[in-house]
Amino acid sequence: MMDGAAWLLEAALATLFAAVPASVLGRRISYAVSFVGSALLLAAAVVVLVSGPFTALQYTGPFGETQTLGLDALSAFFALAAAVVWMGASAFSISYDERPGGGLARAFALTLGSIAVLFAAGNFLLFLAAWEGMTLASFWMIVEASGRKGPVFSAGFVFLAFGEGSTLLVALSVAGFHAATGMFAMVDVLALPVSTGIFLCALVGFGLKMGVAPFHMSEWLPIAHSSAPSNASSVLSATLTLAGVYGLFRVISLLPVGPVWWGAVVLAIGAISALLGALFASVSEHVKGLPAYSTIENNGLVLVALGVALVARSQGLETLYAFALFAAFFQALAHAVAKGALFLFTGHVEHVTGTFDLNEVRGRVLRGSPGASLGGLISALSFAAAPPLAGFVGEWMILEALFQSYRFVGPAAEFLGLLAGAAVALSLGLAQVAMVKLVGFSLLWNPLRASSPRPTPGLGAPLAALSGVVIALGVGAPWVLTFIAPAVQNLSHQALSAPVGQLLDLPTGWSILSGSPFGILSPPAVPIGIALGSLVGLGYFLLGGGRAARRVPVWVSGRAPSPVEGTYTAFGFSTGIRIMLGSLLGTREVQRRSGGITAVAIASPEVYNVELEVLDVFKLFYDDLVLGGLAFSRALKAFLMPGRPGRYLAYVLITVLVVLVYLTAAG
Amino acid sequence: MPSWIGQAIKRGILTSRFPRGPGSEDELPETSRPPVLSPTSDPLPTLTRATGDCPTGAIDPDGLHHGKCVRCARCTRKGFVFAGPAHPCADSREGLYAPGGGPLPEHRNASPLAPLGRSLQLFLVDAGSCLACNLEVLALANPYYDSSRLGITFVNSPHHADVLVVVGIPTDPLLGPLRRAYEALPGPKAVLAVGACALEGGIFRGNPGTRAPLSDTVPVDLFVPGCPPTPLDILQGVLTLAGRANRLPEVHP
Repeated sequence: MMDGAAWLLEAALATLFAAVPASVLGRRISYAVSFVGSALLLAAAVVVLVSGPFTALQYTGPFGETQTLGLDALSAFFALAAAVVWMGASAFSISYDERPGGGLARAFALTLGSIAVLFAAGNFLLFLAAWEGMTLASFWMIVEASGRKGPVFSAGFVFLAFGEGSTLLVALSVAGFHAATGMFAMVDVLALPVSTGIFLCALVGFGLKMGVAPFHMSEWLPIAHSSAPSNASSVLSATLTLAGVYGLFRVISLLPVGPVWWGAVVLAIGAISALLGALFASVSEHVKGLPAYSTIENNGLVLVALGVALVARSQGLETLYAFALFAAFFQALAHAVAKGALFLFTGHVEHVTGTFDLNEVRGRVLRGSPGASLGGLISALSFAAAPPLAGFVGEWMILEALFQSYRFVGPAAEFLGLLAGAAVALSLGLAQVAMVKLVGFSLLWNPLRASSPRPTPGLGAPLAALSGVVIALGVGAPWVLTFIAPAVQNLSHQALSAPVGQLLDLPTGWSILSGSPFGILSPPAVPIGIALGSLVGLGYFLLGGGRAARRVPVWVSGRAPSPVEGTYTAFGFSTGIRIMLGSLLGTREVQRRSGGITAVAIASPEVYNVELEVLDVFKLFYDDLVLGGLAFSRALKAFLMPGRPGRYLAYVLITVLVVLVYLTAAG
Repeated sequence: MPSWIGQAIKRGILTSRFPRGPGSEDELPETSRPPVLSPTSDPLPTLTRATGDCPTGAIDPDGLHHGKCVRCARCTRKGFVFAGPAHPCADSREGLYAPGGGPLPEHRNASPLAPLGRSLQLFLVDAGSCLACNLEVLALANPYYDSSRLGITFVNSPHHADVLVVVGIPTDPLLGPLRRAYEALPGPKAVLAVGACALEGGIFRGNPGTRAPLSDTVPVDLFVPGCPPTPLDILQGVLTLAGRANRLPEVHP
């Protein structure tokens, strides 16, 4: 069995990388090879979760260290989530990618391969190499379609800047491991002062990849992810951020039980990210920007669950710790699968309508492919936490974990739990607004009866399959939790009184217990309830219940609304939020005039618009940072390199002297 | 302590007790009451003499049309006095016609909004007024009349309103918006026409670019005459629409 699993992993990695040269034969062949490789990785991950970890390959690396490629339960869990998304994305790309040449397919395959190696790496050096490979391949994927110019190209460089910052911090944290243990293998660190530095570097470094606050907003995640081609966005948003989650979980699994403030920091960052992500998602009109902000929100939720777990662990609350960890894992899984599907759906929107503006899409998408529309609907509903989908179960678990923050010891921790709970609850509500907006204005709302453009064969099936996974994960959540218990156990192996599964009484049959005793949820019973409720509603409808809706035109100050004006816009949908939460969003009115003098413009409001602009406070910070950095380097240049030969000769002399002194002292 | 708190305590409650008690209308001009034939004058000759003097044609030899009257007081020289019952209103244009120039009968029937009970939202449309009626309508929201104590508030969209309050003579550019606003009201709904211009056109009747009366454009449920009507006249009209006027004590300041 072990040999079989090792063979599966080797074959998966080889196949994933084989897709890079395969693009020479044609991009479709390359995507098909990626699909096969992902399927093999999925099989290997399932084998690990069922029957235990293994090492596939062992060799001596360039620095004399022992390199291993293999999967343990923790990495298998993340490989499984990623492989499911990749299968969908590869199958989708076969029909989606119509760009000439195989450039995008090459970058796509390289990204997949790098992330797979990242999961399989049993050594921090290989991990770092894969991390950097993943960053570069993702950068390639983003700029591949941009034609080397324009905003997408520069967004790619923003992505690269943050990505390299992330690599730097991850490398620092790896250096901390080396300092503590003397080797690069992934072994436990037990000394706390060292581990605090490692923890902080890892949190910020991996947090950069996850796109959480304050490294998130307006800049790299929403812009870079949403300006890439849609299959690339899917891989980036669902699995690149997942790689960040994996890195953080891996590092935490190797650290000792930390002080309470570790968990408090994670909890605070997570809650702020969730709130800001949901807030900006709900006021976004960009078909891809909206899910990208939602990614920030969901990664924030993962951090919230992790933060609750860490605080609980530090304070010895083992049951809450186990439940919050399960919540974090489940949320990561639910987000990856649903977000992969949602970004593929945006590719479908792009394919059908050729625009990313929700105000322009207007329901034309439904005439494209029914399967793709269903996939978009199901995945968006999952993010809106509609039962019985995966997102619902994940968010229920996180809220349940937060409800139990009253168990925290000390008023400060309790108060933090309270604030985080309020922020998370608000962000879940805002996420519903965002998702209703996305689905409503792309699928359900077709006021202009716009005719449908291109048919889209081949885009529906992968999306429908992914949405099936989302439903299955939600309905079968109790069994999924039992299935991933080895991975959770792997993260939490240090000195618990019992394995995490036993702490939660897994397997619990048809339901999930959130503590002993606290809440209970039975995901499989939810669809039954929904079916019964639908029957009642159907009966009421058939018996003549319900009332015909009265349709009236929209009120635009008494003017006759134009066909476009006469319909509800995506912008108008969330203007209430723009105004009510203006202090958080920095909303301000901007007057735009498309011509003529003001008096004329007021008389004909069509050419005189008052728009509401929102602003991210963090963007101001980054803008100042960039300006300050430029000014500093300019001043430094003027001081160090004024163009005088004498000064350059002095530099050479000083360098020689310093080297001589150093050699003398060392010798 | 901020001075306004002390002042407020010193002054006491200034808000009108209307409709629970008399509104203090002592300082209103006498033209705030509808005109009636002076008890001392003989109806037929007086009406005939005043007919020619009335600038809006409110007076004819048979009677007085309160909807057309702009309270210009020219007829007081011919035997009329401003002493009719306060707060007149009617649910039809004919209901405002007083044969023989006597007082209008008390009108207490029209209450299409009775199911709405104690909360009414008003949407004000100025169809072409001189702004006098606007001032009087909006005075309902000031601290003295304070209509919100009766559950009556103003809203910014007809989608949220129960009552369309129309002031001014309907002008051509506003006919479309008027109809759209009426369409936009959710049911049950009512239209309250306020002031002589909205009722019959007032002194602008027949001018080019106007379309009096309002009831040709939208169905009107209640007419409140006056030029302009006082805020209490309008408040009484709104309460009548809601079926709340019957439950009130008789109001004769």
